[in-house]
Amino acid sequence: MVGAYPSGAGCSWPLRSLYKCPNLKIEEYSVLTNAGRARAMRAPGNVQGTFAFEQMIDTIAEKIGMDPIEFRKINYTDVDPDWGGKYTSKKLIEAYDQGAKAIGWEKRNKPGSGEGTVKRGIGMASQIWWGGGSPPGYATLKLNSDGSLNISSGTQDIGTGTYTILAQVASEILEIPMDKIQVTLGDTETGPYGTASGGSMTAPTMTPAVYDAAVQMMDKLKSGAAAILEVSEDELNYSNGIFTVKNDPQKTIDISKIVNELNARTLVTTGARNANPDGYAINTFGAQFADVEVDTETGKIKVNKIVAAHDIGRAINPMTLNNQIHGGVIQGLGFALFEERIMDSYTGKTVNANFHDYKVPTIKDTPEIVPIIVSETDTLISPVGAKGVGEPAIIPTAAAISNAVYNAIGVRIKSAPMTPDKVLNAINNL
Amino acid sequence: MKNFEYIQPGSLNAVSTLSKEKFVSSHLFAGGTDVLGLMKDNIISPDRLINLKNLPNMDKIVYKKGEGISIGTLVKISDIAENEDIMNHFTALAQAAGEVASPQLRNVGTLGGNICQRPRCWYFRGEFDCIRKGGGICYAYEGENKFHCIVGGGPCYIVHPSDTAVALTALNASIKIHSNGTMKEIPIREFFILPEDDPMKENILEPGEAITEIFIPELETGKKSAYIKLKERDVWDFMTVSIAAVADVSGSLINNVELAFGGTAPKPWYDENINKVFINSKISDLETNVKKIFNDSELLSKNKYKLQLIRNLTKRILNNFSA
Repeated sequence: MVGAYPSGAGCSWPLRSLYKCPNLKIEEYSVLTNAGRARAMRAPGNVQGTFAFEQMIDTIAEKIGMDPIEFRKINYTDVDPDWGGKYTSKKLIEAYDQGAKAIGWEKRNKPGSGEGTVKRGIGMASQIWWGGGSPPGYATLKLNSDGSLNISSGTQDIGTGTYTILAQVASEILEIPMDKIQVTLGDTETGPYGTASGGSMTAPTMTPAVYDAAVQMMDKLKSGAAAILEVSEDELNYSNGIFTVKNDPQKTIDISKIVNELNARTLVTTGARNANPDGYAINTFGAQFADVEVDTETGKIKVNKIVAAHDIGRAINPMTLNNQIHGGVIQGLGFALFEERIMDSYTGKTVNANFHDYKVPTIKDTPEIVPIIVSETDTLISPVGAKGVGEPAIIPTAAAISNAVYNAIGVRIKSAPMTPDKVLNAINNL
Repeated sequence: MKNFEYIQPGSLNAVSTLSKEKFVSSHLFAGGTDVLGLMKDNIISPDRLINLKNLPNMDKIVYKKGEGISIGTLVKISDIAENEDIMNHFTALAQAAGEVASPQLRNVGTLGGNICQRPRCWYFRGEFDCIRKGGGICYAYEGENKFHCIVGGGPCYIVHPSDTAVALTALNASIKIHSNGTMKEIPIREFFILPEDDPMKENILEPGEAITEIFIPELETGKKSAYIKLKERDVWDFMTVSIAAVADVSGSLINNVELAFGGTAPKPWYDENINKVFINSKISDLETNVKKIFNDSELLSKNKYKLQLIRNLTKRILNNFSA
């Protein structure tokens, strides 16, 4: 019995699915904490599970005298170990290799071997998450008589760039400039159903819906242009909003004129997210690498650099994508070093429910972050080929930092956040 | 928040009269960075806020070579951190000021306010009827006490939160106080009090009194000062432990030293016996000597690490003098 508000996230999914292991037994149970109801937070259960699991993997590798990356590579799997489905795409090896190069893995020393009171270490951790998206998800496109386009959907942009990437996909198909596209989100009364902001679903679910609507719009425009110009559709070229008759380049019509000539005022299409392919597993993968310093006299950990190498299918917009990786890493840094609910055990009251005592990292705590995208379009998922990045970006950060801390001081910190008191206690065996 | 009166008097006598009026609870207000937080969290609910900002000549820094430096109570923390005379002659104070909170808070907070700020204990600041708020027990004693004191505690176990107070204690500053029409000067080492004397106050100020300036005597030739602070987060965080030192170190010999400790006790901790451990000792003996300090600590369930931390930081700050 775990009370009225159990959370079903679990922490064991990375243990079940990250590596090939034919004989695996997982036991997982909930406990009653009397600590308020559970809430999901960015990659629920996976940040925590990965923090523990990837430290175990490093420990095993060390015990058998093997490089941690080499150990992960020999336990690599092409299929989902849980049910045997082949992955639509998996670029984890590329993430290991490119990440290792960017962090300077070859400079990594033996655990705790550094001189002086401030010891430096390098560590890494891998990540698996879903994030392939799925139906249902719809988007409606309205092409207006001035050639401008409205996109509407019930999904939302929580600061991750949904407005931008939906406009980009429509712009790419219809060749309408971004500044003539307006996106309306977050209103399920006027827009069709869109996915909720969870599960790293928004980009991989909603961009194919816009893609589908844009392709339908292109069909309508082409058929309209053919009728008005009195040629067959095959005889038309399309570029930057203008149809041209192949053999008679003087005969042209732009999309705004098509809407007017058809007396349609507005052309409307609604697109839907395609079904996912049968028999395949769709997952995101990544590996993050941390370069840290541990002050053995104060117990304070300083993270110098995080390299975040991720397989997220197609990068629709590298800038908003990198921003999400930065955000995930900084939030992962918070989990690793600062953030903790501290509860008074006699009263059950949280004593640090404010932004001073609950310490979110500031810009001064934030290291250099180097995002690397190792993947390209995953055409098995959708014509857009994107997977989600919202949750993958936070999952391995704390585990990578903890493995780097071990590499620095040769002592394992098994509880997050790794605050100075815990580090000092671990070093001094208190 | 309940209604309150807000007054900006133009004279110290008016401050005295207003702040000790019977049946009106008053609170002094300098920069306000702490007072507003206390009011919003319902720790205090004054009837009257008395803003000191219209008082003349309280925002000046005056350095007289050979005598010392006078710093007005309303001088901003950021101005102290960046003042060249303070940086050159009273380095510990400039460093401590630079460690306070965040740039935004340093631009508003004042020196007088900083040393009079209330403790950050999360039971005091939270919904707990603790001793410091007139209740019956200290919840930290058997509760979440990783940031609490290791000496000077009982019946309350706060640590004093001010960075500048620790530096001023090592620098042997004195505090000038206007008290009902007269002035008095109190050594800062006697300004703060322990919970055993009054668990609801952190210093000796009474209603009708206000700090006007802080004076630091010029250091003797050969002495330098420094401040070192460990905080979990790199900015906008109070000390886990901090140390200020005024020391005369020549080569590998510590000729003289005065140490003050923050994050250690309910007041900036100053103990002549700790100084004596290091006076006329060698830098090379620090490793052994730091083990002689704070052996009488009362460690709580979650703050044992602080003893090691204080010793390590003592070693570090004294080592830095010889570097």
